[in-house]
Amino acid sequence: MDRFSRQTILPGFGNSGQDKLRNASVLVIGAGGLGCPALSYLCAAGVGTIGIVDGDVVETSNLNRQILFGVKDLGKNKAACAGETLQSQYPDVRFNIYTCMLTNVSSLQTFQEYDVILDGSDNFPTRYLVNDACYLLRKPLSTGAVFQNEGQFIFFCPPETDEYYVNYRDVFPLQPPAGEVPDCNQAGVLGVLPGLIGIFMASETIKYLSGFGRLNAQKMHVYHWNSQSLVDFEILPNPKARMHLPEDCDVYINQDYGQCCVAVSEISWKEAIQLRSIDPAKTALVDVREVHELPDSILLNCVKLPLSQLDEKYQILNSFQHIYLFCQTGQRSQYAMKQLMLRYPEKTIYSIQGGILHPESSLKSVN
Amino acid sequence: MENQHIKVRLFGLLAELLQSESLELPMAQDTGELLLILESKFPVLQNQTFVLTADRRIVQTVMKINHATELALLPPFSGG
Repeated sequence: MDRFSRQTILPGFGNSGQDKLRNASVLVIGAGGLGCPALSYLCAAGVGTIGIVDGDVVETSNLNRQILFGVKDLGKNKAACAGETLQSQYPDVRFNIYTCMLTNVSSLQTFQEYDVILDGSDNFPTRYLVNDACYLLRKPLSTGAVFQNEGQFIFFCPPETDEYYVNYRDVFPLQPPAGEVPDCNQAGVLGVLPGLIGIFMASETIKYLSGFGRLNAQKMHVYHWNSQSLVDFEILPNPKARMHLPEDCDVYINQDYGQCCVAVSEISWKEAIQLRSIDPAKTALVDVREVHELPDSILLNCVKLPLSQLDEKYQILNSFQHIYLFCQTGQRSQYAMKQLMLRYPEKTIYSIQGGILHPESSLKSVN
Repeated sequence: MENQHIKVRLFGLLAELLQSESLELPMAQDTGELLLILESKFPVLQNQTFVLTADRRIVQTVMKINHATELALLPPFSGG
């Protein structure tokens, strides 16, 4: 009896379904709340080759939903750690581990090697970067995301001809501005919700690869946890999508998807603190969180400029030449950075990577 | 007929911002008019990214609606 006997006896799946999975490859982007359950089921089902992309490290607050990790893994790279855990469970699966964040160039190179891309990332820059690369390379994409008690997932499947097909930009043509849509760190989430959505994403991927079951492609499925309902929305071609999709790979490589992917204007806590000590009078550490947010940053000797008051109060930064912004996770500070760069093109302005919750932040232990 | 209302289901952050999972609005002739009513009654929507759906299709152009049309506002999610 082999480890796949319960699925090969399924009428219609059989040995041929299993062979198709064994010869298939899936690249999972983000080993987080969506990626962990998706990875577990893809490996358990016997997908032959699995790539895992994640440049982040395991933190305590991940453990309610990122079920491949435990307390012993804190501080480890997520892609490497997930690969290690899964390899010990399923020695017959081949793993490729990518411990860096995706970039425009690396996505084009890496995606070509896989049959399906599964996007479980937690930010819009990556979602659009992945969508556009998949569209240009005509790679099937299983994408999903959550907000509090709701989740969305879509399987985009390119047709065999080279005609246009709908993609994420047909739903939302442009990235929402940074800071508009809260992620799990800001909005909160129970682990079961991304668990369910990640399994739905893996499930459509398995249907596609094995040819078993009915694939529900090009539809946005919205899961509502409170009412236990799943609603499908048909996605129609949107003329605005074509305006914003990069025309070809050259345009794509030069397209700016935002800070989360390229990280050009982010610095670490260590660097920010060190740089401030060089010229303290001209350097400001700026907390852009709202006044009620904890932990209090008073110990950092910083300027408080809540994002909601940025427009009216930004002049308090007039006398500083070097401005290092932080928030809870590093998302809102990136938005604030872009706003301030418009007003102060001559100043050096950076967003501190990972915000207060980053392991390097001296305030993290207070949280 | 003048008293007829239409119901719009809200998802994600929109339900949180408007503190309700659905809205009852005065009847509109088409999706364009409905969006104008929504944005004037709830100015917070002007700064939010979302799509309108009618009968479970994402609406890309103005289309006629009636009291039986199933309407919803879908925002993008980013959490993972």
